[in-house]
Amino acid sequence: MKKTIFSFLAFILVCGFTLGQNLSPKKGFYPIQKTKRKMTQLAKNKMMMQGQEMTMVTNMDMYSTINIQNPVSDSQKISITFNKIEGDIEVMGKKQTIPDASKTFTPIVLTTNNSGVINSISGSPELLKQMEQSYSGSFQVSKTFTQFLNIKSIKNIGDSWLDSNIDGANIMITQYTFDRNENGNAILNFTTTMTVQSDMNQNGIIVHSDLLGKMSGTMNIDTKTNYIISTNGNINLEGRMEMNTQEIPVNIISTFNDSIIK
Amino acid sequence: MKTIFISTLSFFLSLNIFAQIKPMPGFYPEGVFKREQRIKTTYLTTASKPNEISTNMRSVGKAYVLKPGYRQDETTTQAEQKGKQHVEFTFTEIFGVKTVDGNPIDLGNPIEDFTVYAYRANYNSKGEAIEWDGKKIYMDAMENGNLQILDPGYQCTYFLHTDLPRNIGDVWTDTQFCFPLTKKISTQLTFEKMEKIKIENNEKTLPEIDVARLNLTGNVNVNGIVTALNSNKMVNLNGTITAFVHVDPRNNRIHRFKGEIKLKGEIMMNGKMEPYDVTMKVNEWSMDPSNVWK
Repeated sequence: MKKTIFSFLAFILVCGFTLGQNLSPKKGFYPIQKTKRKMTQLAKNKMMMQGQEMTMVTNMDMYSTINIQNPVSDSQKISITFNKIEGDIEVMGKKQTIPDASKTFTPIVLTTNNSGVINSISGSPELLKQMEQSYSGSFQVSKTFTQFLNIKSIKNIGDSWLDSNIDGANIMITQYTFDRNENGNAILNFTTTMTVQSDMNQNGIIVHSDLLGKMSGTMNIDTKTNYIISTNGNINLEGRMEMNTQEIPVNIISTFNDSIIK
Repeated sequence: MKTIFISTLSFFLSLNIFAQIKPMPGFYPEGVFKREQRIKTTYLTTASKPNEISTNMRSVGKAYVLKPGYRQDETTTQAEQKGKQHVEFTFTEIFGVKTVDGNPIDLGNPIEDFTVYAYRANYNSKGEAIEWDGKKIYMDAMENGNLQILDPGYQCTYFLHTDLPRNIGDVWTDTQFCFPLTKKISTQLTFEKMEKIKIENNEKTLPEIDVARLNLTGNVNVNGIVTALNSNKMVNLNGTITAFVHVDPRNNRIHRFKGEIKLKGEIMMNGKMEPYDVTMKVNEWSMDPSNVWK
């Protein structure tokens, strides 16, 4: 009898432990929550301008609040408010403080349906444009909210899977590996192959970027909700920028950390 | 007065010396040469799914060009290498993405070992490949991609081949250039002018050099069974190539190639010939270590 109870308890423990380790697809509305996040980025951009190497180092901290609101009828609003942007840019040894433009930005508001798919995006156009031009992608209509891991089947430790995203000419193909569990959270390793092609209007001059590269790092995920608690990574992009028929070789090496703060 | 005349004359003479591409009908300059290549290809059709397939590839390759007659390996004797030039090619980066009707696929990275050659070739005294071998993964990729080396007569595309000296205004035809799909293309080259460019070599001191700018045009006809869309297919494609090439007149090193191939025609899919538009954009930059050309 003792042996049976012990076996049963062991079974329950093993099941419980295994269930805790899983990542499973989530459906429906996002969990109502308000979190504060901090994103730190250290980017070193190397450009060859007329044969001279130009280095630009950006050291930036961005503080934001993500407010996932109560669903109303069959839609849910998620607002992303940028509270503070601070840091500096060093160009050829000269440092300049980045002005905090967060107060001029109205929050980005995503309206999602009852499957978590974004139906509309509103907010400061300049902010949306900057996000679009950032190398880690942006929010997209018809896609899910990127602060949550989007998976289609149950994932266990050791599993690897591919996910991809196309946003215009920007392509990201990511291979995730479920590495381990830590304090009940899932730790994933990821490697992304990315192409970045964009046209930016810089004071009337169209600057065309054509970059290819890799991003890799780790993610810490809340297994109950699939909310991405933190991401650490680095990006290495190589390519060319074209402006006024001049081609400028560019190398961008960037490290970033994005995580919840209290 | 005489001094001014002599100085002016020597200046114009020196201009003329640099404004001429020397003949390179034979062995290549010894050294390590590095280049970056971007090749973007798009296949478009309205006949059947998929309607659009595109690839965007980047690679960084190195050529180790040895002194003619010299080769250091376990199986070849110096006597066997006499009259031949050995070149070893390797890659430090290869990767890219492919999209099939908007669905992206990572093309992966076939680099197994950075320290060894990917493929190697022996060239004869005319600069034409006569023997070649390499790692299976690269040999398969080159064979499937209709790339150079794997046929006799192909020349090393790190350098411009010419039997005769070329001067500004010269127009001539050559079949040195080849790309995925095309094999060797007969092209018309026009030596347009001399230009100053900076070389990229990841060093801070970058000297400016004079290069010859050649304009390249040609008709491209791809007929028969070739590798297209990852397998052997019957194709009938016709179109044009337009490009420019920067050549260092001192050693015929190609520092820059930028071109576009536009083809229209048919590719056999699902047992029948279907209409296709194919565009290939090729961009190439030299990244030589500075000791090669200083």
